[in-house]
Amino acid sequence: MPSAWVWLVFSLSMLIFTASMLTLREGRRFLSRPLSASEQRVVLAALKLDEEQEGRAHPLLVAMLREHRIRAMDRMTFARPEERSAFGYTDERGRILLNPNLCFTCQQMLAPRLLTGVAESDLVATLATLQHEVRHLVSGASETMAYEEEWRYVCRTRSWCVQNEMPGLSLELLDWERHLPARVRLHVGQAAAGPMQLRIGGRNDFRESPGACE
Amino acid sequence: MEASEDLKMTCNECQELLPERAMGQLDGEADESVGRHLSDCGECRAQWEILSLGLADLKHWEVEEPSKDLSSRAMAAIRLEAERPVGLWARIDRSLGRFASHRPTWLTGLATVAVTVVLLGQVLAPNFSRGRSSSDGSACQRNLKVFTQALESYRKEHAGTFPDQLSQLRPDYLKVLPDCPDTGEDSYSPGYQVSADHHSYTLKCAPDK
Repeated sequence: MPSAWVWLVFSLSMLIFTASMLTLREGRRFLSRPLSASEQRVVLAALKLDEEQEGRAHPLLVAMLREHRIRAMDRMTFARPEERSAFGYTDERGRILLNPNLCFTCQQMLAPRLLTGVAESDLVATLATLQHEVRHLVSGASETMAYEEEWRYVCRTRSWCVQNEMPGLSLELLDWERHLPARVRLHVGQAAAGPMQLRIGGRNDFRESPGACE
Repeated sequence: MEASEDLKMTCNECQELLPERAMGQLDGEADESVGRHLSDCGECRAQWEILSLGLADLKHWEVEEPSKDLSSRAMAAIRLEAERPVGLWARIDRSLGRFASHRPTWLTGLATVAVTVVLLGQVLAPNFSRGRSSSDGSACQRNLKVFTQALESYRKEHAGTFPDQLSQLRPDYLKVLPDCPDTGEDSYSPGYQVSADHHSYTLKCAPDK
């Protein structure tokens, strides 16, 4: 049998190897890549809509897009389930990572001839996600605050779309708003979700909500 | 024949046996062999003479009796050594010495290797979980939305009728037929049903079918 020293060295090297693997795995949880041309087009369209609706596009988002700090998540092999289903993520280097499977679904799946411009569904997902993530960046907002701000923004944008006769976009925004309560419940908790909806729209009937701000 | 065998004793073998010969502990045959080698080999003979002289001197050496306080002095030195603070390295060395006295068996070794493999497996497990579910089904809902758009485009171009199967949407309407990210398989095709007149359809993610 090998001596005690051999066992000690073997165990220590295994420990170091395991620690390295864990570090490697954690490091690979948030791999990202630059946006492709078509994805960049969606982000640009989202910022343009923001500009039209709010009077000016969010300056930080514009700067981040220019500096390529808005990126797409890449190969989520090591990501946890909740990270796979996240529309966006603000990483420790202050970059916004968009989930291409969720924000650019139409770009990825629809045949090119059906995509004359940017799909409204992608546009809404990207815009809402950017607005959510930028709250984390600007004011270090908690998840609850970021969701509330996102919800308010979606309500505001939908009203603007209705006023400006953009039925496709307002329907997409309504659909987004319909799914928001479930996402808030999942990520923030029921205790925070109820009061949030009351603050936004004065109602807390989550199940049949056609849009809280109506 | 016998003489040629004796000659085979090398100088090293002979010199190894010299101390035993000097103490008179060699049996007859070996003693004779060494004697024969010594008579032929001058170098070994010189060694033997040095050894014999040394032993003869030892016989005349008078051994002094130890002093009466030797025992108490030795015990005091041992006590002093025991009371001296032990360094970290010495402690580790002592612990290892204790561990070494219970050397692990092959079974313990195998168990260690098995534990290591399991640990590594746990660390590397996500490598094989590409199709693992997302937590809230958002990706599946997004896929259903794209299917709806593609089906709507199909209906517009086919006189208000929907396709028999989702696979007919490729490649003119969909680049790919996606798998459900939550189940890792195509659970949309089994969940697609079109009416007899092809004017309406139902679509859902049906992983159990």
